[in-house]
Amino acid sequence: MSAQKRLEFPPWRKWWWRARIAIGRRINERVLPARELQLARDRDRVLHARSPGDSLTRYEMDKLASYMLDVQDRDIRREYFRTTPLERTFQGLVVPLVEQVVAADPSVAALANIGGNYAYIDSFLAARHPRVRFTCVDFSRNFAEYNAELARPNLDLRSGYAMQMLEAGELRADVFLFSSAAYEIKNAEVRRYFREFARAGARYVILNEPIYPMPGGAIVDPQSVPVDASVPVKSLAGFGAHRHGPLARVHNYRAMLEEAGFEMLHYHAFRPAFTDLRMVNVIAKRSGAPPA
Amino acid sequence: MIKTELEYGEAQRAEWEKRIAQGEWIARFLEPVRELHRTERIANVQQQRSAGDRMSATQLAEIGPYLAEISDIDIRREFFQGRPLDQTLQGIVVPLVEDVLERDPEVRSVLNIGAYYAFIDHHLAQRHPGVRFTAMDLIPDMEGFNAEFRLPNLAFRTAYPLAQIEGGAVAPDLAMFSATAGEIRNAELRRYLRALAATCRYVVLSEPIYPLATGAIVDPGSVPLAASVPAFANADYMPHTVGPIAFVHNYRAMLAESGYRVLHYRAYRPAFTYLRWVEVIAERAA
Repeated sequence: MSAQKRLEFPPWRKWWWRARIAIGRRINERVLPARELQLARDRDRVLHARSPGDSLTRYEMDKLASYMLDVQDRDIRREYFRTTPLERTFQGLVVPLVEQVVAADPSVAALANIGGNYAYIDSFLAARHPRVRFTCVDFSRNFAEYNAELARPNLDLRSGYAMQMLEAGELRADVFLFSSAAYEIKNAEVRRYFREFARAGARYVILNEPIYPMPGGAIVDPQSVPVDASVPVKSLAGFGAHRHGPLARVHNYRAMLEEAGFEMLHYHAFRPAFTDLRMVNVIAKRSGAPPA
Repeated sequence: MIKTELEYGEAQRAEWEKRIAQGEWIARFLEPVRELHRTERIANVQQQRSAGDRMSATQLAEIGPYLAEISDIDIRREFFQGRPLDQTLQGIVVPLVEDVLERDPEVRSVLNIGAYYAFIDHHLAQRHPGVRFTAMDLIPDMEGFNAEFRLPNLAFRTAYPLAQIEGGAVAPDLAMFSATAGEIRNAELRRYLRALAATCRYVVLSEPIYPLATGAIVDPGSVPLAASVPAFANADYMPHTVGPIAFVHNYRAMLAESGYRVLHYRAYRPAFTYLRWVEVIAERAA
């Protein structure tokens, strides 16, 4: 028996390969963030050109409906919530905000969550507040079926575009909520949502939104962003059948809400103890009479 | 209570801005090269997946859904409503077709290969009621997609135009390519022109000359007859899948090879865009 090794890859070539990789990495430390930043800006420009108004086009609605089906991962989410204390989850950050409003104002009878996806939090809150009617809306056509295990008598799971429901007068609530949803929505549409919330009877708006870092790690303070020019910060990768994930933006939520006639009761932009991702939590109350 | 505790200071921000500026400067050199390689790779893969000088069954099965995926009818409708036709890239073909119709009253049928949203076909059919127009493309349900453009002398067909021409299902007097031939591979386009030469008297081309990723403009006349230059691939930040490659072809040489005589040829930059364009009118040589 003979042991032969003829890989024709001498040590000097290995050394040369290592040198190239090391130099490439140093260059990439500079180039990759610049490239990813450009990708986020390019996507923002394309999305704006294809969707110029303050609502989604029919094309985008279809895309979102199939995207939401594509990213359904109920088993992973179920396991995540089973094994992680609620206060150590991003979604769980919204619970004390909702409970603060419900405790402070016993007249709150209806809450709507826009972009609920896996409605664990809605189900959790519905169980704790049986006298409050919860509505959770998202795009996936099988939304109710997907969340069947989370059903509660006072939890309504609706499939469709919340903006159309609001326009048609089919969605009304005392409290409207975005939790890790508004950051994926374009500027003009978020501002229109806030106006529509006011028209749909909202007395409170609650936000629990991530502040994604820019490529290379920069953090954008939401309050430094112009009200009408949100900052595209990260193009989330689409590793499934879909081409891209959402485009994450940083909005000036405070200015947007004030523009729509809401005043801040609570505003906290911070880094939760369990993560490096920054979040912004908001409770806003409608000031004055509801718009006609 | 309003609190901002983002744990991110001015010094970190300044350092980040410096890194981004350096990265952008290096990327000015790297990105065009990377994009050039990407375009060439996509072109190579498309060539390998084709059936030589026509689209393979796999490509035909893929392109219909792709065209349906990028259907943006609302945006196109608003685009044409919002500006004069002669300020649109699609509108460039109109005077070329009308030049032929004026020159030769025996032209009774026009086929638009790759018509997609048939605004131009509708415009021409309205102005020339005695001429039969056919708008053909691979998008499923051409008829439904263009329902707003129905006219008695305008037909919409979902079909592979090459197969239709070779099978004798269509035999136009004039065939037009408007922002279509540039997306057809070299061997396939030459096969189109050979097939058309059997029955079709005129070919009109109105095609973009996409710049290379480096910004270079390729003169179509400098391109070898058999080796078109892949110039542009849909950017990877677009929401849909990567579509066809845009080539720069030597249209004059291709037409001559198929027995067409060029009556009009113009490669130029239209006044309303930075994109270069090529216009051709060719007549079958006697």
